[in-house]
Amino acid sequence: MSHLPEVKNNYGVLKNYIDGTWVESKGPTRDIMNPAKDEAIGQVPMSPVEEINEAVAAAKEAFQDWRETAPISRVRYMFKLKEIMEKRFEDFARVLVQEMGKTIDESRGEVRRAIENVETACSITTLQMGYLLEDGAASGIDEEAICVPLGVFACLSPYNFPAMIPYWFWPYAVAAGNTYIIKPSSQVPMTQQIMFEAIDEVGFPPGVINLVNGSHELADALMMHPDVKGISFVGSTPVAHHVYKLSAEHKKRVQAQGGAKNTIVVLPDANIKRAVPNMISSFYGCAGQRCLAGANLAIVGDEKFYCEFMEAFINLAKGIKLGYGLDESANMGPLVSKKAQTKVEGYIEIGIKDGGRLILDGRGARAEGYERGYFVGPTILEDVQPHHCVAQEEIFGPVVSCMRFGSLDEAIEYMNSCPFGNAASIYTSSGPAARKFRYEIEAGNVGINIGIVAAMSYFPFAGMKDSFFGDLHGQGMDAVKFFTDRKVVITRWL
Amino acid sequence: MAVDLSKFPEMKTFSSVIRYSLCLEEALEEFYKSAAQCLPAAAGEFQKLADIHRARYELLEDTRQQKLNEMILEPVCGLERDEYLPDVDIENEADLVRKAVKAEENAGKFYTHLGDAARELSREASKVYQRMAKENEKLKARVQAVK
Repeated sequence: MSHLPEVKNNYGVLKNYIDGTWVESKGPTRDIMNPAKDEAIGQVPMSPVEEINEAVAAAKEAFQDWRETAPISRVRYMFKLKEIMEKRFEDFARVLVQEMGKTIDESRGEVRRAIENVETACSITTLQMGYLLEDGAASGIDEEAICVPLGVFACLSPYNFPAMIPYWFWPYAVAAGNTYIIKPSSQVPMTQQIMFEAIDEVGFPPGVINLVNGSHELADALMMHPDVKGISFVGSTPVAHHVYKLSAEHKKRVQAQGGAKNTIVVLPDANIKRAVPNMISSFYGCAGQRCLAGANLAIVGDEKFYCEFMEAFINLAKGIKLGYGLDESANMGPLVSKKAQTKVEGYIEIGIKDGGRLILDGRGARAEGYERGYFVGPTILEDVQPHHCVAQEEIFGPVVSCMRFGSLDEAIEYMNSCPFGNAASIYTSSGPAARKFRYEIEAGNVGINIGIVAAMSYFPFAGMKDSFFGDLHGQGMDAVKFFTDRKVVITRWL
Repeated sequence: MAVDLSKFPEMKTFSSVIRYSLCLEEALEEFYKSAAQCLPAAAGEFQKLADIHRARYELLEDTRQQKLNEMILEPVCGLERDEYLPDVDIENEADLVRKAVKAEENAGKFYTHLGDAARELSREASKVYQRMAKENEKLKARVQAVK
């Protein structure tokens, strides 16, 4: 099959980047798989805890000098990074396809989001500014608040957005004067490896930004390390809860983003022609492996509307072409791993056993030329009830659980009863209905006629309820607040 | 120069429409480069036109990368692949200018339709295509002025 060239066929054994130097790990390695081909494309080291300790020591050592570097000078490093990232843009996107499986367009979109966070962090000279009030304490006594960096921070990132997610955090941390360690998912470590080539080219002072590959043992070591000031995590809810508890127990700041089960509500006054294509991207984009992906479809309306809507939805879902993400004609890639494929197919079985009616079956789907890939095709389960497992649990695959509700109130009641609160969308042409939804829904990201509610880099990103443990979100001003503390100074001249 | 028409995709999603437009600009750049060699008297003008289509290619790539993140998978209706395929095979010098005029007309029609199709997805992108359609009119006039 013809497709865009791969950056490399095999990336060998990945290295760590500690104290401004690429270093080989002493740990054992695991294969990194191309999920479309079921082929090893490199090996990732499972670095021992001593190596993460070296990274923390380097970051701690670098902190004081970096903090004393003027914000405008720190920003210049970020501008340079942005330039290099633009030059390497296509390389980053293609490596991401190779290891994660999403399509090249989805990958380009993800890399763009990473760059946008660097761009936003470039305004740290404004974002980090404190405030002063003359005579704020008393006549002749001024009071001011200064936003100060804290030290070493770390990010534990998941497999679904290996390029973007570390960039929700580290550009703000580093631009604000902190030093940083990234531990990527061991399933998809290559994207950060190649993005660190750009970081290396920028020439940050040694120790300011570090990369260590490995397993959850490293994550636990970071959470318990006395010299780490805070942890940013994105992953499943049980792990996010663990990260939140363990990090807090060790006196750290935490922002732990968990799982999701996002529902899209369709009201009978929705514009079907425009709504269906938009929501298809939400349900099936990235093969359903987005924390913002639509998972449940809640339809309000009579039989006629329901049939008309479903006909349009099924037709578009059926037209989605599976393939290797580097084939530009593919609309949907494989799941990230064999394990993920088995899990998603298992959920489809459960959905049927619980009483759901399978009207589009993605099990056993194959992409021409990539028969060994971990594909699951677009799937639709109809007649799902709110208490069914497939309506409650995160499947993280291209499976739509379709439910019917008598009113918007009933749909909102169901949605707010779910433990997750990452995203929710409504399709309607009614202003009052949209306003009611926005007001009442318990979700961190709300879409009105928008299926993927992905906050831009200058807005905060996180969910609510069991989708997020912490208070300050990723990206923008929230990130700057997370990575700085407020020091209040009261001054009197004698 | 024979254009490889198999590279032009069916236009079913927004992503494939953008790839189509990239193929179109690439084909027009190559066409003008070949025209510059065929008609030395107008080589300078044809090379400039080739450069313009290269710049348009880069503008489109930039638009794809920077303005179309989440809508790339969305279906697009009403744009037929065969309707806009360029006929840029140079058979003889006499026919060259006529084909160039036709190619610019054809591209203008494509970007006008693309501008309309994109309006609901991204007004920013839609404006880019509308500007390109207007530019095609000017390019057509430049080609017509070639003696």
